[in-house]
Amino acid sequence: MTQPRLTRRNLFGAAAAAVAAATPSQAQAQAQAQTTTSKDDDLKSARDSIANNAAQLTKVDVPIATEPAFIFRAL
Amino acid sequence: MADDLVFATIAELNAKLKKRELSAVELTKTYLDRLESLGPQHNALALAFRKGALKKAKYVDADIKIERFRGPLQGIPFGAKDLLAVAGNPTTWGAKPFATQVFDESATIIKKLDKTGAILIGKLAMVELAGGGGYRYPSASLTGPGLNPWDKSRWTGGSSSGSGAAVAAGMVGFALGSETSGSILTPSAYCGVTGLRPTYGLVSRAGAMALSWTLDKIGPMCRSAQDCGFVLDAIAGGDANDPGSAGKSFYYAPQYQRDFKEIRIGFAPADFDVLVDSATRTAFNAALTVVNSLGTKTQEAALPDFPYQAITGTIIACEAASIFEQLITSGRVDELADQRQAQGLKAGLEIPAKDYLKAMRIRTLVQAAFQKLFSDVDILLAPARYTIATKVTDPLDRNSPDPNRPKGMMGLIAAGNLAGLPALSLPCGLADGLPIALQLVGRPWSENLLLKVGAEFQSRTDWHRRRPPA
Repeated sequence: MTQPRLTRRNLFGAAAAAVAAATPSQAQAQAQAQTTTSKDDDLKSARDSIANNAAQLTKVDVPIATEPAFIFRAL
Repeated sequence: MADDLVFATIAELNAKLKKRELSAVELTKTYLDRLESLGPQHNALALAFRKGALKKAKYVDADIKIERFRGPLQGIPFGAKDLLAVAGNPTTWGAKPFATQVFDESATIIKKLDKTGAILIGKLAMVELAGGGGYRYPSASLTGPGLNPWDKSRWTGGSSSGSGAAVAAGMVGFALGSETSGSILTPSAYCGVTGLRPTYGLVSRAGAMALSWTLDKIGPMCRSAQDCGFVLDAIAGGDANDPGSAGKSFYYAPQYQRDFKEIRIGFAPADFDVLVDSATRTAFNAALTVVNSLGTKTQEAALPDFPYQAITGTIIACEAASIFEQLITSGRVDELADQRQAQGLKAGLEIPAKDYLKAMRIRTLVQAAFQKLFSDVDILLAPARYTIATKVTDPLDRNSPDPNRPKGMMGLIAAGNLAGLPALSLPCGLADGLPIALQLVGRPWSENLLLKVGAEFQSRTDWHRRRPPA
């Protein structure tokens, strides 16, 4: 009986199929996780993060003479 | 070709090319084959340049045949993060709304590398828009989540995800990444490669996607500190086309740096005793022992006390929202893969000018505080990341830090970026089979000093030589 020949191409094809099979499951897991938050929730989360940053910045005393860390150059 | 060669350093490859034990065509073909097969398996490949790369390789072989040597990068195949323009080819910035974008001119550093004889074989995947809106999942990319060659259930880190995976898995000789706040150091640490974040303004960003004009840097991701020096030597230098360019040059010459006994390295014991994840603690402490054996002076140091994450968060959110204003207001921002990132960019447009200016004024204080700190030490040493690579399905905003924990140097990535300081990520061990790394941070323009210490560390360890499981 003739054994089917296992070529490197066969092996690569099998590996690629395994990866393709694995990737959607990861994507699905993330998609499931993402559906637990709505756009509104995410926008609120982003705004909360910005507000939290601003609150931390207000706690830092900045001497009145301190200029922002960028320089305008006349050309 | 021997498998060892695809994991060889630039110096080793260049020596073989010059002796004609190996042709540039042969080397380029081998890397291209790996990039085209392994790249998609790790979601690391954006675009391969087979035809152009092989044509260039033939020119390089012709040059070498007549002994026209152009330096260590001649004939070395490399990959570039897909935020760097390559004329006439798609430059997607890792984001669906820009999937068909094509520029007429290549980025300055792509042109510089071309002149050295380095061979661009592909564009490497990245987190969409370099993650400026604040993404929740590693899947925030046109090409899917970066899968770590050490364990594909783990993330590569971002945003230079493809660059980290490609160097770690021997798909390229070296890669270019970019960092706004951690995007070279994190994938370098998670993937076990050596990454260099240059001083702000040392490397031109002309032709690169802007995320934050005042924070963006481009740097090499390689297999050794020496390799980073070779690449930085080629890409550094002033550029009138980059308003942030400092107009300074860099020549890789670590041999002219001071003796080890005169180098003062500052570290925070809490990083190693308390703050690193328990699985990594033994390996980090072993690495610290090696650093202590270099003959340098190690001493305790503390980061100046500032809300670094809040400062960088505010600056990046404002600048990114301005840069991508048209994307946001057109509604196309909703095409991004990560919903949290899309909403983060929208929210960035609402930040009052006073908050941005406050952040930038505090940044001036941060710079002054680091100038003072660097009068006591020459280099700051800390874990590059305090954990191993996270799971690819884990949300990135899951944990909020305990406010009562010691601070150590956990804010060093954000702080170093705010102050524009150079940093070197050095693989320093394995924990649970995954790489961990140290970061060395120095004064502006002290890359040669960091590279000298990094090379000495790597002469006493072999972590940078370790390879992911086949």
